[in-house]
Amino acid sequence: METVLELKDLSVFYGDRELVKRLNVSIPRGIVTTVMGPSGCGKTTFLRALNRLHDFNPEMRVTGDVLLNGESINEMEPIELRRRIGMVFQKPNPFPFMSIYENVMAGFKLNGVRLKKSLADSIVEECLIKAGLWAEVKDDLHKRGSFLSGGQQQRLCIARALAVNPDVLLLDEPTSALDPIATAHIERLIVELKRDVTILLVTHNIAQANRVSDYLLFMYLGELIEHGNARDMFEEPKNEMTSKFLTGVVG
Amino acid sequence: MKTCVFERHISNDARITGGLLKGWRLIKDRGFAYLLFSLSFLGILPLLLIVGYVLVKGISCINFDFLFSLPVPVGEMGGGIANAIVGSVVLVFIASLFSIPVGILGGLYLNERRSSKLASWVGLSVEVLQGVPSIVIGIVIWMWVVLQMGHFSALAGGVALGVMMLPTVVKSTEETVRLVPESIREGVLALGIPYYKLVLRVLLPMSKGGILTGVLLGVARVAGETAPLLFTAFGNPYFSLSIVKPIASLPLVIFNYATSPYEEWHRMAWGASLILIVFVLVLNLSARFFVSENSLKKVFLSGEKSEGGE
Amino acid sequence: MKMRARYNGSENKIKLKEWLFRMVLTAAGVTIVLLLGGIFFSLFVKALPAIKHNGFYFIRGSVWNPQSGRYGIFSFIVGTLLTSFIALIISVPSALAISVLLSEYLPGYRNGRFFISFLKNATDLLAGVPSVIYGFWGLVFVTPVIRYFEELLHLPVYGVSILAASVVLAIMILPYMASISREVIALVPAELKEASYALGATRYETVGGVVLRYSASGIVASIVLALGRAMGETMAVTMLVGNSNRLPANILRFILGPGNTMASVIANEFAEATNSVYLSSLTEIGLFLFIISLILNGIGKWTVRRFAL
Repeated sequence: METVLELKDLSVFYGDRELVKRLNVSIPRGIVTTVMGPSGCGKTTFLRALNRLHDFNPEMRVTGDVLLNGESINEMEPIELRRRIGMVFQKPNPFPFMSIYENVMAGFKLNGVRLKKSLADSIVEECLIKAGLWAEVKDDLHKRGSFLSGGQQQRLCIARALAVNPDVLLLDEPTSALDPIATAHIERLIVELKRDVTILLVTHNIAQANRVSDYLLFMYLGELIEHGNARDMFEEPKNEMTSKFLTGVVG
Repeated sequence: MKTCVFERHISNDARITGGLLKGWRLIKDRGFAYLLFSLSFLGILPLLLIVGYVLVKGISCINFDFLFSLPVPVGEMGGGIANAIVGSVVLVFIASLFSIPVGILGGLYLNERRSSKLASWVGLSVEVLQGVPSIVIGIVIWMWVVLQMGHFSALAGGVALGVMMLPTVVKSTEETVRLVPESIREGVLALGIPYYKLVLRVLLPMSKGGILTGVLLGVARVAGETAPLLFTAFGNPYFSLSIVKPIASLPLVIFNYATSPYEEWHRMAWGASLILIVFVLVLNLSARFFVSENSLKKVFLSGEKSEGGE
Repeated sequence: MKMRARYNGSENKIKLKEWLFRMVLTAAGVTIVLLLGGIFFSLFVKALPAIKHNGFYFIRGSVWNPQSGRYGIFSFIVGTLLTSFIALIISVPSALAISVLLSEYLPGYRNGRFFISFLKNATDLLAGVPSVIYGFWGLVFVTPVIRYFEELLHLPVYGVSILAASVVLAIMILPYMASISREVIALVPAELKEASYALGATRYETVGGVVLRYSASGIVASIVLALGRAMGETMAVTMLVGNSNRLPANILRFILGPGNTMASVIANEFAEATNSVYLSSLTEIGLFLFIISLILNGIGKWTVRRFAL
């Protein structure tokens, strides 16, 4: 399988504490890779290093490198990197002062890119269809999104991230703030989306990881304990720690 | 299986992140940052100019004579501002006498009876009072005190300053007492101790710091006020400790000397300004010493975050 | 038995003390309300004769001549508005720049914390300088510069002018506005900013597209509050504005020459007002000022309150 992201000795420090310890792994393209582990194992910290969000915090230090399609992210312009690696956050955060239409186009609007209306319209429709939200909002595109439920808001955020056509989509515990029905919707969506974009998902919910993953990374206390094909890892984990986590003994 | 929209999308890719657009975005970003820094610097610059000026021009004027002697008639050299310094102290003292008791009690009232109709009127009055222009307060106190007494007086000046100080004391008392955790109140009341003892023996002592801060800040503010004194205390070229006679004060002296045509008086105005600024600065710093910045904000802004708890 | 009796007796004493205490607190509260009411009432009563005498001429007329009994404050209103608005125009960019810097840029720098506290302390210091000292400094520092421009433009040379008052007023309201807008900008949720950065926006784009748009109403409120503060400012303005009742048609002439504001007229003339209509008219100005600051402060504070919720 082709590799889209390659991690080389990636570490993240908060002051002197090493939160993510020398990760070396290749993330395959076109499938859903899930990063699992108990709370505090560094999976969110690791995810945020991938689109260089830690740049905004002077107390965080990132060492090592990540190659996106062979290019080092440290040598890329960060704003370009963030267009190529998109992110959806734990708590849905659509812009309250923008309409649904504007929210989807936010990636363009905020970057000062003006598109022809016909192109913009088709992007909005395409992304909302991909995010499974089109049917519900197609008549209300120009209204503010305050009437949307949590699950719908999260799908709007997904549409917004998709609009700039990223290579990789990072999902940071996207359903932990949602109810089970909305969660199920989003999980279905994740499986469909991998046709268009590589997905890297962080979750502490083992059942969810089981439902959606193709490839699995298991982290514990900042270290990558085991990684591999999802089905294989679930059925026959090679590491003792992994099996302890999967069976609920740990975490 | 990308749709043709996405393919069209990809060919726009270069336009989105490549070439000229990329450079222009970075220029805007950096340019904006420089703009912000320059504007901020321009905003702070006057502070350096003013404080520096006062320091430089005033320090040459300060000596024992200046601080401890009285003003001399126009034309003669020398003289001091002892009466103004004493006058300011007297006025602040009278202001505190009025505003501290009423202020603390008012703040306690707002805390105890948060939900009653009267309490919302009191809260509203405090807010409005804080915004009344100082000269308007001067007019009103002139009517209430000066007219009744038939002449200007330190009492009138002190009352005017007291009215200006009141909202600060009320708000800081209210904010600080509110911070005392519910668990402590409940614990004391559960011991069968009456409410008034809870307030006097527990809540007030625990709120000492915050209340003191409010008082210090209030004093710092009114010590520099001139407008309300213009037709209440009025000023006095002689030494006076009487509350029924007009009295001098530092801001009044600065005003009179600064707007006069005499060089010598200008020089003394700088000296007086230095003393006043140092006084206000020391008060502000010691106020900050006692409490965190968050509570300070609540006292001076509209208190919008104070409703609904922390 | 004895203890029971003693307890009952002191229980009544305690109840009395409780009642007394609550009464005292309530009295303090009532005093405050009465104080405010009294202020308004007294102003109104004292101004009443002038209100009857002047009618609407008060606001429309530009002749202020106590000798002939004409009390029109139109030129003072214009002076007040001009000084306040020019002061705003000068100080709003800097105040906003300081607020944005404090909440969006400085926290990301390694030595950020030092500059943050430096900036905060500097603005607080600026806010604490008494008004007279600003006025004095303005007389010495600002008026010569204005005299230079008046000479350059062949206008009568005064130095003291609307512009002088506006410039110093701008410096005075800057800390107040910076402080309130800083509060407002800090309320922008971090997740919205993160979402913007995650989409690849630059800092400039995030500040303009998200932060300022989100806090727009709060910032407007801070401007309104600063306007209220500026209109009520007396001493520095009195010392710098020139105290003249003229009203030239040319705006530039007006700004570069002496004028008057409502507050400065009161400050200058109240102690020497000779007849009762004169005093009453001055009080009418005071009442007018009172109501204007009430409205401005009310709008401003209400908007900030709504925004913070």
